[in-house]
Amino acid sequence: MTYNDKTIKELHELLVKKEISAVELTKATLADIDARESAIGAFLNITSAEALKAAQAVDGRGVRADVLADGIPLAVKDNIVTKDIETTAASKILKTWIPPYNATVVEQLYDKGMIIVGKANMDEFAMGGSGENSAVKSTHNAWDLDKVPGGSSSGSAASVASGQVRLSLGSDTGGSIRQPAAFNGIVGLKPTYGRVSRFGLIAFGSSLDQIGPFSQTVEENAELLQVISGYDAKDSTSSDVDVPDFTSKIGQDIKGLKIALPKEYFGEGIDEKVKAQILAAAKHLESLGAIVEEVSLPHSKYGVAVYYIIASSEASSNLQRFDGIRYGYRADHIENLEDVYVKSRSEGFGEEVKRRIMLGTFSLSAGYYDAYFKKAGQVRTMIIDDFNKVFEKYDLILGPTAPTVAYDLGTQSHNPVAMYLADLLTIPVNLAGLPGISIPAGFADGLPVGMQLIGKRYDEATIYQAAAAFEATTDYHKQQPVIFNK
Amino acid sequence: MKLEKGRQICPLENEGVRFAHKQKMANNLTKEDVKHVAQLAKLEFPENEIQGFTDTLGKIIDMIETLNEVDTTGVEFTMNVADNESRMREDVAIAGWNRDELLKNVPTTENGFIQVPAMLADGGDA
Repeated sequence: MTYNDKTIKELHELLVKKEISAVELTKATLADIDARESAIGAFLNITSAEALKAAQAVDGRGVRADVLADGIPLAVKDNIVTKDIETTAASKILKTWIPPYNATVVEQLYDKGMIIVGKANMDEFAMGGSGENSAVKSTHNAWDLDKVPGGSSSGSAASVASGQVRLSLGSDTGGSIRQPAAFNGIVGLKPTYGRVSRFGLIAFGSSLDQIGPFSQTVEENAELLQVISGYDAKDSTSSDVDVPDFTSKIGQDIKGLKIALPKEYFGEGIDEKVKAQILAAAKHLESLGAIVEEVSLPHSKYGVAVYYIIASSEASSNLQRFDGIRYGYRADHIENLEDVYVKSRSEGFGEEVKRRIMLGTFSLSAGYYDAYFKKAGQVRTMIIDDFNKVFEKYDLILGPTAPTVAYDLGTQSHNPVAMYLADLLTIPVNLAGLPGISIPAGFADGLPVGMQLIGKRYDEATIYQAAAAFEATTDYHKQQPVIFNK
Repeated sequence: MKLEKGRQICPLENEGVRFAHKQKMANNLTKEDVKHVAQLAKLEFPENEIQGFTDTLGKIIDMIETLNEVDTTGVEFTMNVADNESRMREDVAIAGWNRDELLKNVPTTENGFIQVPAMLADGGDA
């Protein structure tokens, strides 16, 4: 018996009416995971024992009728720290690390009675755009098992798309939620920077990282964002802006909503079929009453360069803590203290991680700091100003999420620069700290195409409003890969 | 140290004497540069991998050097995009972490200390 086609609201009703128990729902979810896992490979760790225990506790005290998420299972990306449950960031250097604390978002999930059923696979330390940089295994795309699921939240996306779980959490530094959502035909949102606490998110690029929800529908996405949002004193970059009801504008029409189409998002380098789908989607939004106009974000093309300098520099600093001393991998053949650091790090980190640490260290080093890091920080300001100008007149910005659909596993992983350029549509959103969503907007060559909507700071509600209007009048989200109905 | 107009001194300036002549972003990244950066990053690469790594890093630097095209005169540097207000709390001690919990993940401990090899192979100090 599977419930993988039921929304949170429907599951909540079944639970409250006691037509199913939390334990039954968790067991059904674990069975859904099991049935698809050898094909998809979305999980590093399936936490059956902990999940069932948590579900029993929910049934013991009774599902709370006023808590929508009570007893609902989900997967969590393995760079989000879970107390007493191994957390590895898909790296050899953290294999067997058992955290002594929970990330704040995990505390929030538990507080609402949500059931973590497993830790999802990812690119190591969230560095990657295909899922192929995991030190453990590559996850597969739910629509075509020979294709990449995207990254770095590869497992979080594939597990929802394939019907293993209804919901998951991922993280997004340069597109790592939105791009895999696009490649897998599901909904993925990166919140405004500061909307969700980063405490317990293993840091990659501290001025860019955000945790966010994956789901099958727009409304469920908003419902999960509701659980994890809010000010956290343990995260000094956390915002104390009010958390609204993110679902409040879902169902409202979008007549008069002003949507901007940056011409730079439809230029060369974007696959023609992807472009065609997104332009058709824009026309559809127009038919619903939105005003869609072309604009320019002139510094867009520098986004990738700015990002790779800043993210790598921040990462080189953040990853200094992995030194073989207090936790994680410590190399065997060590003769002195220097060996502990150098050998543990060199053996424990994967290729891409080392590449980025080197790039970041280089950018920050004496003689290069001004030319690289400082320059990047200045161009970042210009990219932010471009967005601010557009948002003076428009409510949302629209474009494709990724320049292509999912590609074959094993074909891009040897070409870092090509991989980096594929992030050009998502990166600027992180640089500016804005919220951005990817929703299913069609297909090209049988594979999902994602549309990105970017909003003003803290205006996730308007993003959800437009996304929901699109979803309600199209069928893309209803289509499922073969593996979903296995 | 002479301050060039409009240019801030980076605190690490003194360290990079050998790079002083490379103020421009010339992309003749050498194996020696890579080895120096590796030392700063506490990483090592097998000799037979260093050239390949230098080439890849060089290609990435080619890509990021497009920033040269942008005139950033007078543009402020964005450090982060948070709301950026320092939030204060009462100066009252609150419970911290349990040391034994924290030590659970340490490879080798002794009497509540983290045990590591000596700084030099012979057990001496630097």
